[in-house]
Amino acid sequence: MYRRWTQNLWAAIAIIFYLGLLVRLFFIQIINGEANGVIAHHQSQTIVKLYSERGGIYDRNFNQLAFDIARFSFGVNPTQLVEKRKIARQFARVTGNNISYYLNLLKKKRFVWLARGVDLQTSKKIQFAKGNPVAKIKETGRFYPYDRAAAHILGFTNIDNAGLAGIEKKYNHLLEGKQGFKKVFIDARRKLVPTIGEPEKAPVSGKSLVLTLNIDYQLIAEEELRKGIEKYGAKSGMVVMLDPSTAEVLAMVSYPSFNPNNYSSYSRAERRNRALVDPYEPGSTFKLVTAAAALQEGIFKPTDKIFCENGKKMFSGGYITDHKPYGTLTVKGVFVHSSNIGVAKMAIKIGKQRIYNYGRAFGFGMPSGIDLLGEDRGKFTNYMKWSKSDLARFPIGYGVLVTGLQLANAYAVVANGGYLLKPRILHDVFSDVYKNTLSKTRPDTIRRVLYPKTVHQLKNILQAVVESGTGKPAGIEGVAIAGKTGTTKKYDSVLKRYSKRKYIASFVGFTPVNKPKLVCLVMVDEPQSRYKYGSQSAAPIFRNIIRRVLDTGVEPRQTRPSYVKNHRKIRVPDVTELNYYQAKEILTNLAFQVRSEGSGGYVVSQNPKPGNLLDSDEVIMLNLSGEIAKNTRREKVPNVVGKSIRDAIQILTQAGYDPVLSGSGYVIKQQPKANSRAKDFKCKIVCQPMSG
Amino acid sequence: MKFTDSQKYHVSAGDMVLIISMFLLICIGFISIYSATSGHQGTALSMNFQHQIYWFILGIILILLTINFPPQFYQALSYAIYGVIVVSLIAVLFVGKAGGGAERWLAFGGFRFQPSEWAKLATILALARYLADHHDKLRQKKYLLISAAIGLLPMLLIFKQPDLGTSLVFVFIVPSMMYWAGVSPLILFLTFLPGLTMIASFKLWSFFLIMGILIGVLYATKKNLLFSISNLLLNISVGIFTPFLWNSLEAYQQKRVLSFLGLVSDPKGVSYQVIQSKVAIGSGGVTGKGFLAGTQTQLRFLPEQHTDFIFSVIGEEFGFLGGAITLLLFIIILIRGIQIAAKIKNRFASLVSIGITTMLLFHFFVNIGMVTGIMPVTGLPLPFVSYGGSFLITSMIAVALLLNFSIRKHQY
Repeated sequence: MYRRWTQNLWAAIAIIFYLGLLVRLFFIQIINGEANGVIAHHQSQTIVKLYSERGGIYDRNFNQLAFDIARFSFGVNPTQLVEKRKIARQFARVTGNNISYYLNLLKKKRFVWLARGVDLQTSKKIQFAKGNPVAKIKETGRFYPYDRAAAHILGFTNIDNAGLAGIEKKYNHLLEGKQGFKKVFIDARRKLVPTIGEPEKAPVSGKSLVLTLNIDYQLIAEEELRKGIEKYGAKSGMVVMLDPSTAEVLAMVSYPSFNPNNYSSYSRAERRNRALVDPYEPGSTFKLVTAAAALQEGIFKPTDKIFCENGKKMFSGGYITDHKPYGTLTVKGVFVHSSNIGVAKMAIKIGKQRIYNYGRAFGFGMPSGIDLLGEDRGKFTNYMKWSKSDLARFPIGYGVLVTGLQLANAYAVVANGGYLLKPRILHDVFSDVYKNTLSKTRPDTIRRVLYPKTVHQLKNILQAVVESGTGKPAGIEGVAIAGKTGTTKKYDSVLKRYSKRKYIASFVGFTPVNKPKLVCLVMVDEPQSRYKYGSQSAAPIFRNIIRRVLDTGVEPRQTRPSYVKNHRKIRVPDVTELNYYQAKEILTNLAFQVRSEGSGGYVVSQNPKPGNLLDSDEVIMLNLSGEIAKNTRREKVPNVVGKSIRDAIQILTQAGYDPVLSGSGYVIKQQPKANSRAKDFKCKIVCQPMSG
Repeated sequence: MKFTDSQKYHVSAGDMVLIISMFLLICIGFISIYSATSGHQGTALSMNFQHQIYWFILGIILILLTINFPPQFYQALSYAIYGVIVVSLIAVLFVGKAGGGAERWLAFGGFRFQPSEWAKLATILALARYLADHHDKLRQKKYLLISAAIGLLPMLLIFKQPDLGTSLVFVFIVPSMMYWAGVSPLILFLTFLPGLTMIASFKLWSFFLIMGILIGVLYATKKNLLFSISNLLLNISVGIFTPFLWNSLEAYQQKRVLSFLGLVSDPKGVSYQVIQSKVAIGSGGVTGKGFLAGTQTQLRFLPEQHTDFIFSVIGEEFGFLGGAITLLLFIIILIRGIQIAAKIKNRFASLVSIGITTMLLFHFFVNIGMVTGIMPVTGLPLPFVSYGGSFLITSMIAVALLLNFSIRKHQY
C-alpha cells in the first residue's frame, strides 16, 4: 500500500500549511509586532492619579485649624438592591434624613450616592451583610475642628479638596501639593489590578500654613460678638483684631457665620467675610483723619477752642447736628465728645486737600493689601471732586466707605507710633510638622504717617475718649485703653436719604496705650434704636472681648517656640476591646504610631492609657489577645461626689464604667464608692440640684 | 486471531523524535495553561493546571496500555468502539436537549467525557477497518457509500450538538482516508459533492458554480449520460432540499452555521476574540514578554485563552521564537505520521495512521489559523496544548497508536 506519490502529497500539504502559518506569525509578530504592542499597551495599562495630601492650616500657637481626614461615601445601584427598605431605614437613622428620602432615591435606575463625606465614627454605624451591593468608598476630606471659628478666613474646599474660598483658595497652590501618578494594569473587565512598586511619580504633600490668627482670641471675639448682636437685636457685625506692631491679624470675625465642614448648606451672605468685603460709612471713627491732619500740620493745638454751635449748624448743603448740644469745646473735647459740628468746622479750616492726603495716608480708599481674596477698596473720593458740603460731611465719616480692616489698620498707625503697615494673615509656611520652615512673612511697612508728637497727642485724645468721653463703656478698670466710638445712620438707597431707624454702631480702640499690643474694631449693623450709639453696643462688646483676651494673656506671642514642643497635644482615645485593625485605624488617623505585642486580634490594654495627652507621632503600645479580657481594663472607681452630672459621666466613662443615673444636678452619692473595685462596670450615681 | 505478541520491538530514532515532540508540546501546554489560568484572578481557574496534569498522567498510562496490543486487536475491536461512540453521541443529544443548549459532555459518576473527541478516533478505526477489509471492492458504489456513511453518521450527530468545528474534521478525514485506500479522486469528488452542494446552495451563484464544475468534470471524464444525469439530479435535489433542512434547525444553530461559513458579517464577540488574539500574539514580538508577563494573557483580554486560544498565550509570552518552535514540533509529528502511514505493511494500521495524521493536521492548521486570524473561529482546540481532558487523552492515544504501528511495521 506504499505509494510514494501519495505520501509526498500529504507531506507537501503539511509543509505548505506549516510555512503558511509561519509566515502569518512572522507578519503579525515581527512586521506588525510594534503596532500590536502599542494596542496591547493601551488596552492593559492606565495611569492612576495619586492625590497629594493637602497641607494643614494652623494658628500662631500651632493649633490645627484645618486638616485632611478620612471620609467615607456610600453609593449603590438600586437595581441591584433587594432590601431597599432596610437600607433606607439604616441610612435614615444615621444621617437624620427621613426614610422616604432614601426610598425615593432608591427608585432610581442608576448609581446614586446615599451619603457622602461621612466621618469615620458615623461610617462605622452603617454596616451591611456580606454581599450587599452598597459600596463604601474611602476618600479624603477636609476637616475644620473648630467648626465656625475663623470660617470666613479659612474658607473651605470642594469635594475634590480644592480650595474654594478664604485661605484655602488664596494659598491653594501651596496647600494642594503636587499630584503623582502610577502606571497600573487594567484587566479585560476594566478593573484595576493591584500592582506593587513605587509610583512613577510620587505625590508631593502640600505645604502647611501657620496663620497669624490666635484661635483663642478668635473664639472669644466670635462669642462676644454673637452675644452682643443677640443682646442688641442687631442684624450682623464684625470684629477685627490686629497686632499693631506687625499688622498681623489676630482675629477677624464676621457675623452671621457658617460651618466650613458643611459649607453648602449656608447662604452666600453667611459665607461673606464682611470685615473685608462689606465697606460701610464709618461715622465718627473716621474723625481720626481730621484730628491727625489738624495736629500734625500744626493748624490746631489740642487746647484750641472751637464753638460747637449748640448742636446744630447749617453747612452748605445741609444741617449737621451733634448727638448732644455743645457750646465751646477744646479741640481735644471735640473728639472726646465726638462733636460733628466741631470736626466739620476744623476740616473746613484745614482744607480738603490736606484732609484727603491724610485719609489716603491712613490707607483709606485703597486695598490694605492683606493676603486674602476679595478685599474691597472702600471709597474715598479724590478731593478735586469734593463739593463744599463734602468737606463738612466726609471728615465726620459720611459719604466715605471703609472696610473694618482698613479702619482697624488706620488705628494701628496711631498704636504703633505712626507707621502704616500691610496687614497679613499668613505667618509662615512649612513643609512638614517636624521639618523646616520654608518661608516667613515679615512686617511690611507701607509708609510713615505720623510723627511721634502727633502720635502722643492722638493717643492722649483717644484715651480720654474712653476715660471720660463717648467711649466710656469700653473702659476696663486698671487697663489703659484708647479708642473712638462711631455711630452712623444707614443710607437708604430706596428712599435716597439717611434712615432714621437704621444705624451702624462701632468702636475701634487699642490697648495698652503706651505700648499697644492689640487693636480691635467692633462693628454692629442695625442694632435696635435704643442701642444705636457705638457707645451703647459696640463699646461694651469691645470691652468684653478685651477683658477676656487679657485674661488669656495680653501678649500675643511674638515668637513661636519650636514646632515639636508647641505642637498641639492630642488626647489618647480608648481603643481597648476593639479589634486590632479598628484600633490601629483610629490611632493612626490621630497621627499616633502604633506598635503591638502579644498575639490575637483584640486589644486588651494600651500604653499610654486613654485620656493622656500626647504629641502626635508618639508610639502607643497595644497589648493583643485572642479574646477580650474584660477585667484587665478595670480601674478603681473614681470619686465623682460633688461633681456636676456632666463631669461625672465623663469621668466615669473614661475610667471604663457605665454610669447609671438618678436625679439631676450634682452628684451626692455614688455606688460603688470611690477607690473600690466594681464587680460589673456599672456605677450608680444619685444626683440632686444644688440648693440655694 | 492473536491479540498479544511476545516479539521484541525496535524503537527507531524517528519514533523517539515523535514521542519527544509530543511531550514537548504537552509541556508547552502546561506552561501556557498555568500562565493563562493562574495569576491575579486567584483561585477560580487555577484548578485547570492540576486537572491537565491528572489527565496527562492518565494519558501516559493509556499510552503504555495502547502500545502493548498488536494492530489486529484494534482492528477487531474497531466496530464495537465505533458502536459505543455512536450510541454515546445519540445520548448526548438527549442530555443536550435536557440541558437546553449545546451540551457536549456525558457524565459517568463524577467523570465527564466528551464523546465527540473520542468519535474522531473511533471513526478513524472503524473506517480504516472497513476500507482495509474491502480494499478490493472500493470501485463499487455500495462500498463507497458505506465508507462515506461511516464517516457521515458521527459527523451529523456532532453537527447537531452543535459542534461545527469537530464535525468538519470528518469532512477532512474521511475523503483523505478513502483516497489513501486507493479510491480514485473522481469517485471521491462525486461521492462527496452532495455535501459541498449543500453548503453552496446557501447562495445561488455558488450553487450554479458547483453545478458548472460538476458538468465540466463529467464532460471531461467522458462519463456515460445516465451516470451524468443521475449525479446531476442528485446534487440539484440536495440543493432544493437544503432550505427545508435548514429551516428545521434552531435559530442559534443557524447562526453558528452562518457565522462559520462567513455569511454573517460580524457575529458579536467573534471578531473581538480574533482581534484580541492577534494583538496578544503580535505584542509578543520576537522573543515574547516572558512567562507570566504577558499583559493580555494575565489581564484576561482573551476569552477561552486556556482552551481554543492557548496559542495566543504562547505567542504573547514567548514571542515568534516560541510560536515557531511550537509549529516546528507539530510539523515533526505530522511528517513522522505520514512516514509511518507510508511504510507500514498492515493495511489497517496504515489507514489509521494517515487518519490520525490528517486529524492532527486539520486541528493544527485550523486552530493556529484561527488565532492568527486567517481562519474562521470554529472552536477547534490545539492538540496536546489546549486545556481539556478528552482531547488530550485521545491525542495521546492517537500518537500511541502511531508508535504501536511503527514498531511493528514489518508485520502484516
